[in-house]
Amino acid sequence: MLAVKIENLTKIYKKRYFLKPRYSVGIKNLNLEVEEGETFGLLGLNGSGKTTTIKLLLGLLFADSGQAFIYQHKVPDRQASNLVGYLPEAPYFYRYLSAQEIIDFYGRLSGIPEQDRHKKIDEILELVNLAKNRHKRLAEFSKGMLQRVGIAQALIHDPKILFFDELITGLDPVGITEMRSLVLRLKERKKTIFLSSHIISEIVKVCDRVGIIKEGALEKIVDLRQLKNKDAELEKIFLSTVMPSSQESVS
Amino acid sequence: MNILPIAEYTIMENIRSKIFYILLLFVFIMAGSSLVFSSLAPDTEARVITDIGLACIEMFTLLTGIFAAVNLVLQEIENRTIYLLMTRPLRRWEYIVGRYLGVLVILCFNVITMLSVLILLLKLTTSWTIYPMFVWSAVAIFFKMIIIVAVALTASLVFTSSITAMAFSFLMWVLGHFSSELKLMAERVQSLLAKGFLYLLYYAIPNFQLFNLKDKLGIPEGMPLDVVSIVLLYGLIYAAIFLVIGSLFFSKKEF
Repeated sequence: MLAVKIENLTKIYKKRYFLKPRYSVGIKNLNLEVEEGETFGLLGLNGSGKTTTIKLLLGLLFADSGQAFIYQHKVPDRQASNLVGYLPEAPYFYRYLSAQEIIDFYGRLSGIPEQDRHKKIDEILELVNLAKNRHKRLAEFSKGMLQRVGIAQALIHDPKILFFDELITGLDPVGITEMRSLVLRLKERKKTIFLSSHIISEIVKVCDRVGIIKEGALEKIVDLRQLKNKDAELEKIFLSTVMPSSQESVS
Repeated sequence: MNILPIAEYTIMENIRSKIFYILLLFVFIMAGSSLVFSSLAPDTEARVITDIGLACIEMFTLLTGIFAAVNLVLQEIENRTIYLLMTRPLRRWEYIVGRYLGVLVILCFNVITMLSVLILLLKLTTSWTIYPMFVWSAVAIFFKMIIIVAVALTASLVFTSSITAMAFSFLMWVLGHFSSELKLMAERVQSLLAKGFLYLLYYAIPNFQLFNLKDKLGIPEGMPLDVVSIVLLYGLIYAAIFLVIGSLFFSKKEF
């Protein structure tokens, strides 16, 4: 069963400078399918369209043409929102709330009844290893801890699909290891995971397939399960895709 | 329906952002006024403190209301906390209405607190006794806020600039207090274009003069309930129109 389906999706950004419109391509004619239970990575340089793709799937941006589906729901759709959990790049939270309060708030918005919410919050905070710090204000949290709060809020309503945008950017090695192990645990739970990154070494450790995106166009899809030396081979494929001329000169 | 959690967190956000410090300023001004005017005859002193007090309640509530309403959504977009809200099964209009109601609760609390301080001060310093019109005047100030908060919130969504939205809201506030003058000018002006424009302003801008019950403080018996109901209904209709416009703009917004 397809968890994500994207058909000819195009997003052009329009900005006005002194009343003169300027256009830039977010993504163009993007086609992509992600199977249920799969961990899919979108790999690309900065500004290649990774975040735009995720935001279009989540209804934060509206497409100029094409369409996208979360399961059978054409996005943007309120029912599709119930099926997804999202962690943006460098998430910002209400720093005056505690970890428990913020998870409770997002749980309420996701329509979880109060009696179930308390139990779920306990479970999730245990999963992301924040149970001991549940009453601490987020203003006192480290970047790694905030990222774990981010994962917790994405999981509170038990979504089928998780979207992680640049999950490990800015984290120290301990934070990176924690995030990786969390993703692997979610993978064991058969969650569909759609993540974006520009860090090849991390993507190969968790993903089943990788889509390489360049200047808003999906250039290649690589099945990592078929590669022997995943790290080196994916790096080679990636570099030859995003900067073919320099790859030739390196060779 | 997700209006309630949004309203609740708006209240919590405002409480923790120390917005209530403005109440301390009110207490200082009122204490100062009572000292300055203590040399006046008791009746005059009570009247002056009442006027200053109600004017301060209105001004402080207006400033707090416009500032809070304009920054509600804009700050959330700037801080990117909006991402995690808009990816929840939350309708965009629910978010706007929840934010709006949250600010109104805060303003209601502000009005009640300032009014209590004023009553206490008048009781302690003069032989003043409370009368219905006095309370209605404070209620009418809150009714004005029902409109102006909706105006400010909508302006922030339309202009996406806090300075422009605040300026627009203040302009609406000022023009709304000159409704009868706008109508008079529209009736007298010769040019058809100017006449049309003035009538447009007259009908589009809420008439805040309707709420100015503090001008009628000399009539102590109070306002008939049907008049108050009509004034409240008028405020609610205007607020609803602005909130619908704001929600429409917000529904098209990308993050």
